[in-house]
Amino acid sequence: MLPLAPAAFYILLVLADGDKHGYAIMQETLKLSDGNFRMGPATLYTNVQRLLAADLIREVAAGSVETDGRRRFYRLSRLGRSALEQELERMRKVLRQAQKLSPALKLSH
Amino acid sequence: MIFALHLCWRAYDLTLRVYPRELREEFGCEMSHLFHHQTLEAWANGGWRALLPVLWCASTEFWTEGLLFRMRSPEVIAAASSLVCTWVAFTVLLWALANPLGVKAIGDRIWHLGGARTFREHGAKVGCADPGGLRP
Repeated sequence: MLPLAPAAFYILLVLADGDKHGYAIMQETLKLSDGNFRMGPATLYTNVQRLLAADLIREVAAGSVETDGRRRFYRLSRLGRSALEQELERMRKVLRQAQKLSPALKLSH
Repeated sequence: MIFALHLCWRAYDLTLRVYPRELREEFGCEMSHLFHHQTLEAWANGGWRALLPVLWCASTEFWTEGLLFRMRSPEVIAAASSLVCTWVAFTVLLWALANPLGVKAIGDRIWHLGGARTFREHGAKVGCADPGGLRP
């Protein structure tokens, strides 16, 4: 699945912090991207569906987290964590290459 | 305002039908619930100013996730192609019925142009202007 689509990347990134339901994923994504990446319900669940099919995330029981019963919680799988790490590494490489190629851009480390 | 929100929710629930069936069946309720929650919170936080980006996001998704998916399905491609072909054929037929002289003129022109070019080229090759007097 690499490189990951932006929505899939943000979902994995948000879930790396712990189990979350759909609305929390959306809110966290908006916060992480400084309001630049707004995900609607369709984008969110299309990507959740793909990630579930690829075993990168899995659905978990709500457990002790307070919930209204309609919410479904998702957790990053081991495969998903590995995919996220690979994607982050790929991004770091791209950034390093960009820094080498164009010092005039003044990219910060 | 509640009426406007209800209208948005109703419209959103209707647009859910456009999304792929598997997605709708598995996540339809959650999508609807999430949209309700999102719009309510946006309205509570900043009124129209906060609500508009949410509505804009949902409407762009309708095109990018819903309709684009639909347009890729073979049924839609076949139906759209059939519709376009039928429309073209019907338009040409109507035009031909309304302009019989025009149709004849085009036919004659094609015949004369094709024939003249062929005979001229052939005549130039064999050194004769109109070989065999076949030119109409």
